[in-house]
Amino acid sequence: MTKKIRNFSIIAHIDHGKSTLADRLLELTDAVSKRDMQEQVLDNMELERERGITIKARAVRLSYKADDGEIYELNLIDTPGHVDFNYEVSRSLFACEGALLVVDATQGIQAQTLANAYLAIDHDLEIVPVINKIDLPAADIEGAKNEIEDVIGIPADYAPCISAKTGQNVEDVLRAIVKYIPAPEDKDEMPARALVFDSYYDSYKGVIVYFRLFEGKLRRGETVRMMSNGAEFEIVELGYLRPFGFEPVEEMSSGEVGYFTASIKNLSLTRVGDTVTSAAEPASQPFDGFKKAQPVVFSGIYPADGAKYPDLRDALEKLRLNDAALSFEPETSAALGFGFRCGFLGLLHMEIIQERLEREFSLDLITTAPSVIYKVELTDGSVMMIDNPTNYPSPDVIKAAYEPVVKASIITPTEFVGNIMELCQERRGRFSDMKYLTGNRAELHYFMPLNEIVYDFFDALKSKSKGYASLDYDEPVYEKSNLVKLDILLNGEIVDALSFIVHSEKAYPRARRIAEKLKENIPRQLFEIPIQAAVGGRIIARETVKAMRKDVLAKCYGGDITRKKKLLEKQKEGKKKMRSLGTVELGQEAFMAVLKLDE
Amino acid sequence: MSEAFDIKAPTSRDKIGIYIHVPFCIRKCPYCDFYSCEKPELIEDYTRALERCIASCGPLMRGKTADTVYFGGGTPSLLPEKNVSKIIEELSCRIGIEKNAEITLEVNPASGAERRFAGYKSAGVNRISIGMQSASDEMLALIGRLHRHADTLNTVKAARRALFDNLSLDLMYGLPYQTLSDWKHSYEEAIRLSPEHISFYALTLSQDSRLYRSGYDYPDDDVQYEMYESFTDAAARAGYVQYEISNCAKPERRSAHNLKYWSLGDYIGFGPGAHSFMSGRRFYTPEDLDGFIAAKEPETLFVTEEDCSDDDLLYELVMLSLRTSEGLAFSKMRRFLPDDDAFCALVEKLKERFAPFEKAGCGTCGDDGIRLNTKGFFISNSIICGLTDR
Repeated sequence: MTKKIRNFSIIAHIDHGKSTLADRLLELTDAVSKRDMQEQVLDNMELERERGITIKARAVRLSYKADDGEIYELNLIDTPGHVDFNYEVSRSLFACEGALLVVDATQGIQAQTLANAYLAIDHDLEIVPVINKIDLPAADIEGAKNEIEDVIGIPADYAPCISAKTGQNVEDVLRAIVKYIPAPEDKDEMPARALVFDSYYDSYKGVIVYFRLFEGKLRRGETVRMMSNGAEFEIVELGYLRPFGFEPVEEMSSGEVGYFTASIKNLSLTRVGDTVTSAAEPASQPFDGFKKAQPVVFSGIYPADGAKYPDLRDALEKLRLNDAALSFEPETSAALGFGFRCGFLGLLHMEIIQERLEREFSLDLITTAPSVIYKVELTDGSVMMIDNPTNYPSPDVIKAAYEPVVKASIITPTEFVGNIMELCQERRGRFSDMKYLTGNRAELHYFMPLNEIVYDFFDALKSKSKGYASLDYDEPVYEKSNLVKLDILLNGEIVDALSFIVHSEKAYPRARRIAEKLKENIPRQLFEIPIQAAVGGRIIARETVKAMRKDVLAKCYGGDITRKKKLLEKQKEGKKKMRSLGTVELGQEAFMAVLKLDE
Repeated sequence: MSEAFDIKAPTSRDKIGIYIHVPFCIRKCPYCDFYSCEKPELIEDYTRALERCIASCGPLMRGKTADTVYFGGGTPSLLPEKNVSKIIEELSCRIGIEKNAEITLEVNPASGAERRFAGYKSAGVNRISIGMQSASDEMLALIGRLHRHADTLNTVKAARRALFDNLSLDLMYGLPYQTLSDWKHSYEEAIRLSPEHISFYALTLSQDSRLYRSGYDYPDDDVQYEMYESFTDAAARAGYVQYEISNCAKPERRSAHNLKYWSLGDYIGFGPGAHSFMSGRRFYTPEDLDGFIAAKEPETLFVTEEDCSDDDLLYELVMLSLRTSEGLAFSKMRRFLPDDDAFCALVEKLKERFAPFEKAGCGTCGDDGIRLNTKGFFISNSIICGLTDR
């Protein structure tokens, strides 16, 4: 049976055409009729469409009639394309035997693609290179192939050369999948063992578990057990993932990819990475599961309206169910009240969570400046890990401070090397090495403090390279550093939620910039508001928000009254989203301003 | 047959105000969002429709008479004298106008209305409000006005010659690239003409107005406040008493009609785009001149905007009365809050909430009520939001 199954992912850099290719594959296999074709079927989260990126892994089963007349079942497991979501990539790859490596013929390999290709090789996946965008005048097919061979070290002469946009040669990709990607092994006779690679909560069916069945069979009505926690469920429905819905079946066999539901109300019982087995005839060992994603960026998330704290907790719990990389625990801020310290994979991940909380759960939030985890050795010999600047100890008890540093890999056209080196230096990067790739491109390695990356390094890198440079980095190590805590005072009072930790050399320029940004983003109020930035009680920057002078509707006659009422109600709504810190009222913009200092 | 619209005519002894919306302009100003069309050929049809409307509404007024009539626009001074006369006559016989009623007509200095002034006067108009806006020709051109300052001077002169003893001038500040000294020049010129009344508006643009889209620079809030304060000081020195955020007048020359808007007085508006307020109901005629003319019974066009509850009216009382120099008299809240305890609790709450504003120098609060001063007027939106719950 398994001979006719192929399980594969697509690895590609953002904008290299992954989603478009997926759409074409769906079209060609008649999974979706052209008429119903909606651009980029797999990116079905509103946010993903807007940002043009894939956030969540997703899977779809395609039936393909190959040249030999046989029908093959192709399970495409989509992967995200941003460094923040390497974790999601690794769990998608785990479920596959092969991966398409899509390379844009006009741009060549990017840092992110390279990292994911290596990840796939580590998982023993068969890699099928695909050269895309050959319809563009700037396409350099041979260059792209050479680069794949030189940089990744896999042959590329058989790579399909396609245009996902026009559909040219896309069928070659299907042929290559059947030809080069191995079928899963037939292990029907073993006790059932399936790996959960995604799950989400559906209000009608309960938790929907996406799994890859490696060994044995699963049947409707059967009782299954989650091996990490022993929870047992009776399968209500199981089947294949079709582009526009589920196709329930009675039984699934080893090698297949699908879903099951079991009226599960609590997503935390079906965590991604867990192993599903049969309760009646259990397997002896679970899979290793996935490398757990470690949050590297932390920030406080608070409801703008303190009464919404329980709603925020529920929302975070729901999101965590579908996003194992998100971590959170309660914290309290003098300025913001009750909230959560949340851990993210990176700044993009943080923005996405924040946007999802606001859109899907209609919450108004205040998010504090992101922080990495610092290590502090105290004079009494103890060691503290600090993910919240508020908890940073006073300088007189600190023996030594350490910050996380990553080895960053940046791939860029050579013309931008100068710009990028300047940027890295400016962000306290330490040059390691540089090598030239084919096609006038270079790969730079820098040791970069993570806290310089998490702010807005991506944006800066893009603007310094006209969007061409790409970035990847590995896990951080701790290095000794000269850190200080920068406090922000409004009206003479420290606002704990605005404090952050910075390298002492950066304290002065950053303090000044923050004071300026706050001035732009704090609405004028009844009284003048002094803004001060201080290190260890010493004021190093100051600005003033002038008192409000004009907030009036000049004309208010017969026809204006209803409109004026609505206007004031809207203004009041806006006010409700503000946080009162003593006599000062702050909106989300003020907190966000601290994040994006270069704008 | 369409159902008769219940205009909820008041049963109290108060007089009503009448507003006539005249939706014609020679050319629409690029900052204006009042309803008007550039179709002077429809003036006769419009007048007839207006008469039909007044005739059929008269009986619904339950014997109420009007003590103010206001022709606003648009450009009411495009109406020929006989049309104004017919409208006023129709109002007199269908609704009834008090002998000493204030009857205002807005005049655009570019409309060549001077020659009609005598006719307006004999039709019953006794107050002329002139859209001067600025004394600077450059500024007038920039904001798309058709008139120049010389036209304003002629219009004022003609009005005086026609023995109008109650003139108002409209001024605007916060105009593109306007400086404090430009503004001083304009208002000094206005004061020199010694009108009985001056309205002074900060230019307010909606985001889809043409002027907004021109992308000009405007004086910032601090400068606009200086403009505001500088004018109110100068006007006070010249004997004008400020009685509302954007209005001042010589003693006894406040606009009785406009005061109704801020004191929850009853008024009915006729014409497309006119709004009415009767016994707590707000309603209007849609902004559709052709529809108004075509309607056999134009009064059936009335659309209810909202039926205000006592709570709504209480909110409006706070919002509107704080616009005036009289301010919010707590006693007036009694009408909507008969319960003693609730009333006292509200008064205490308002006092408490106003305290920071008083401390910031925005006005005064006594046992009888709250009054804003110049500084408070200019941030009155924030103050109203701070005082109220919704």
